[in-house]
Amino acid sequence: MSSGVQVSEDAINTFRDMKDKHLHSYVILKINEKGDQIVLDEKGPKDDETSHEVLCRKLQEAAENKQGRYALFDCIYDKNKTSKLCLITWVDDAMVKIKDKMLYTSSKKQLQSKMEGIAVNLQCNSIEDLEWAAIVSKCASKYD
Amino acid sequence: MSGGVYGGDEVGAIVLDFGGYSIRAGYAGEDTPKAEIPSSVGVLEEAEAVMETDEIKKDGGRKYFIDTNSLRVPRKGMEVQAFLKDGMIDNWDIFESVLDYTYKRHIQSESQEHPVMMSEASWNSRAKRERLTEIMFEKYNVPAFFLCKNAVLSAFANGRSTGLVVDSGATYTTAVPVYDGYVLGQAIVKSPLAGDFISLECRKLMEELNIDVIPPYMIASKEPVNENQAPKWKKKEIPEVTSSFHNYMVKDVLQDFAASVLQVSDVPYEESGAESMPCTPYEFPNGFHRDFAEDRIKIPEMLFDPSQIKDVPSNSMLSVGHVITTSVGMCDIDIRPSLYSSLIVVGGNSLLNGFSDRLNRDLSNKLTANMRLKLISATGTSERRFSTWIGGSILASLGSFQQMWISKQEYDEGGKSCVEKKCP
Repeated sequence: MSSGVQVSEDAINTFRDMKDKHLHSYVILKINEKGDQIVLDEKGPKDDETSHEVLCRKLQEAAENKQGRYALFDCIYDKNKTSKLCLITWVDDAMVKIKDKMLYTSSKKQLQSKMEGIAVNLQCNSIEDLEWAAIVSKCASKYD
Repeated sequence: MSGGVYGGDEVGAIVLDFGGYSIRAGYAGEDTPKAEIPSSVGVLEEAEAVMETDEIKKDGGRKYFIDTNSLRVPRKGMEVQAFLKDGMIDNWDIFESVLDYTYKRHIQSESQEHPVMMSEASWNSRAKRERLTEIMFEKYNVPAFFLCKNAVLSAFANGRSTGLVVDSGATYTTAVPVYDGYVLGQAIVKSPLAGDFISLECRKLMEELNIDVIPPYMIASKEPVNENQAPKWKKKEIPEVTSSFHNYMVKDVLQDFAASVLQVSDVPYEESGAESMPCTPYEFPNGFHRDFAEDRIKIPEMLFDPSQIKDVPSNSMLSVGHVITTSVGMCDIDIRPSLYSSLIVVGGNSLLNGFSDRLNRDLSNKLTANMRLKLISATGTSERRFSTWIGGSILASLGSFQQMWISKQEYDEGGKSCVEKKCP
């Protein structure tokens, strides 16, 4: 079951830049105010030491404004510089209203179908879920 | 885009959620359902010329009494019957009457003007889904229809597309794994240790204590009495009622008793520890009142430790914790951590005092230390009882959802089997 929310061209193109050319270390997406399209919110700089930290801060800000987000994150998780592309669905349990929870979770499938090549799917509902260790353990796991 | 019958966000859809205790109905986009109708109806066979009111449905000499106000009137020969069985619609005749009533009384509009979003049990059969689709389009002429598994709606409404939905309702306590928005049907686990079981145990307790539970419909007047004194009340002049009606009314009193008195113990029950439990007074409708102490925790303890149940072999029932571990155990090993870290607790019976705390404790003891456990439950009573309805309400009100509905046109072209394709 899916909400029927579409993904904007802009968001798909940015995803391709990220996947093929590694232009961004992270990309944040959101559902527009009208609630019918997933659009680009922000793109991060090229690979950077602090990118995880910055991403977490931005997502936390969104949650404080009672909103959900999607984030694409290129996670470099071991010393051989192996990286995996993660899709983070970010809906904070405590702060986000039920309508946004419904909207973000039910629209995820459409996003996934437009973005082929995502290695890891992360469902994050609290700040602990976003922690570096939590993301790395998912990436390093031999499953999914 | 299929259909395209309605423009903008205002589709005026109706959301219906069926449960073992009640049916929730209302308009999409609203916060709470407009009406909550009991899932039981009064049935009177071969009714004669009784006064006709708009709440009575006629059908070949059979009358249905629907909704709280007419159901609870004592009538000679009226049986109380539920039309859901095993969470699925069983008696279609009653189902249609209830739907007619809902349109007339609560929706107050014509069925052909509103799309309908309906929830269903996660284990609903294909035949029943198709029959329902057929009835909605053929009989009610709805412009569009959608059928949605209630576990998926609950999971989405709690911000998760993967998780284990633990629904402790009236008839069943179930664990339904949802992965990426799909129900994993082969791993659903059901246990009858739920709300109705608690009511039944309360009834046994009253028999043991020699307390005669008199439902309000029998009482004309009562006088205050002291604690533990025999009640002083006068019986109303009422027609002879059936035992199913009486039992329904007794159950209603016991449900109130359960909600106000029972308490789930934090730790497994021990006779000695229970004596120190604080007492809670309860006054029955006929004025009799007394304090309840260790029985407050003995009854709900059976949900978590079936060996406490009398006259049932201890290993034949699954405790709530067991229902969860069994269900997760049947899922693929790599998704188990995601399920345990998103345990979504819903259903009216989970509102028993201390339910979530105890469940958390039982599960932590069973799981290995590296398995992360997280219980999610809505804090508000209405959000927990109506989580499915609210989820459906939000989804059906989305402008973008228009293209997901099964439209009348699609039904006309593809027939009833299109429900399998459009609403997996």
